[in-house]
Amino acid sequence: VTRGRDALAAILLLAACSRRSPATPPAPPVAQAPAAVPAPAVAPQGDRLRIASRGAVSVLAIAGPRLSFCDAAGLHELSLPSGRVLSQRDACPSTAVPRALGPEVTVRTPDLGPDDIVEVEGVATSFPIEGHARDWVSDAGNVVVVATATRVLEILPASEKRVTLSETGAERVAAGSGWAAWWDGAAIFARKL
Amino acid sequence: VAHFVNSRGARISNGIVNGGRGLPLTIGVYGADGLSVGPNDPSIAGIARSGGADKYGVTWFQLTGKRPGNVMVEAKMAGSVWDFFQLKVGEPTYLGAEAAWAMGPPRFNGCYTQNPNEVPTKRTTPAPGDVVTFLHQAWSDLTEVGARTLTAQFMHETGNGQSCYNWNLGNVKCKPTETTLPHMYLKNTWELLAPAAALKLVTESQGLGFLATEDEIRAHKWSRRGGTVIAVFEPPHYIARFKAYASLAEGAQRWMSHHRGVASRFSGYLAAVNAGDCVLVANILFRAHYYTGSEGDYARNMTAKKAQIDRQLGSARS
Repeated sequence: VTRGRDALAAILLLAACSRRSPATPPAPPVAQAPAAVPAPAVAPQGDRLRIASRGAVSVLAIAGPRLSFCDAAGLHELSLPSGRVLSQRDACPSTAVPRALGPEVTVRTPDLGPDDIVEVEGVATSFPIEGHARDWVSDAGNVVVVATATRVLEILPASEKRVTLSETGAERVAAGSGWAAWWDGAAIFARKL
Repeated sequence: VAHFVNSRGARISNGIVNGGRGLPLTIGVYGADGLSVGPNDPSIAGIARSGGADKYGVTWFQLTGKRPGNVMVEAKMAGSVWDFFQLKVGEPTYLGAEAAWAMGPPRFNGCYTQNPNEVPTKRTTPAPGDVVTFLHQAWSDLTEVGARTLTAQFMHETGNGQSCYNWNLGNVKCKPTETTLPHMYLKNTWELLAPAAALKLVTESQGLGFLATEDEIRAHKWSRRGGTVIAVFEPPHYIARFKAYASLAEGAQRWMSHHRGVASRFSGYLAAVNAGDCVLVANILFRAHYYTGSEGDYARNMTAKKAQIDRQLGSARS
């Protein structure tokens, strides 16, 4: 089921990313990076990969062993865990792309206070966090990754455990295939969970 | 007589106004017709007019500091200065609501943006009896007493429904990318952050964020943890974006489904709810991390709300 979901997420991402304006010439074959799209700089950094981004990241997704993201330079697809660039295109989706599938994750702000509470559909226990969630994603309900301004957290609903993945915060997160990725405004980090 | 006002409409003639380098400041001139308005040294600050005079006869401008220094901002005609104030340009502190230069009222039929999925923010205060009826019908395991107990929990969480907007029970948020769902914005969404993180976020907020002053903290009854400052975000910043629902039934689905989940995990929960045992309900919800405040306060408030509902609706059917 998970593989099927991954494949569906990948298809949705690529279908959305392939939308181009009528005036734009047809896209080159996926595996060939056009010379105009510079490859992102990828470097291992401790237990994670650091991938430099250009400008704002509008899409971040993990499907199968592939990390995809869109930044000012275009759509990039990288292999995990190597970080090898698999494909690049200069077109990015113009609208939000459906991401990981699975139980719905809800984030609420009790009393409109300073902190949020994360809830996973079908899980009775809630997960209070410090600060407001910037982005969140569930990998089939097994793992929830939440980014705040100051942290990236991995929540394991079954065991009610949480792991801090980053202490610098992030604006976008993705999870899938046992990996988490987040964008902190300057670079994307991908880490095996 | 023509005179300068600040963004709140208070007169600032002859005064000193603090501005930040690169931080637009909204100022107005009452009776600006025929006047030339601007700083007398354009290397220190620039000015841009934002349309014509409003219904009060005030023409609005954005004044942006270019480099640290003091400059006179004048409204003049043919060499005669009608009014002036001094702008002191320094490094921006982002302190106070004035720093959120892009903040304003909803401008598009009650909305802050032209996104067709944004709906005007409105308070939706359900009558306790309606919540009881809805719960009783939607969850067959609940007795009349049980429906009243959960209604008491709802009333406690939302301040008798006064803090419930667009049927969003519990202030469910939208992700930054969730602009295709019905949503609304709430003002003064605040967060406790380390000073450096707060400054970074406010700087990047494109005029929709500021750091709260001590006066603002007192006025809003906000509180701080040690070593933190309060960053405030205003519509249409995504941090201030929340889901909007069309009805109580739609908005209550997630809330009710979560309580069903608690009932399936904590064996005594449904019995406690149906017995009207607010103390035990508050205890189980605390253990489920549903809330983080004081368990005693939660239980006391729920008990009081339940008594209020019972008084209002009369004795419960068994």
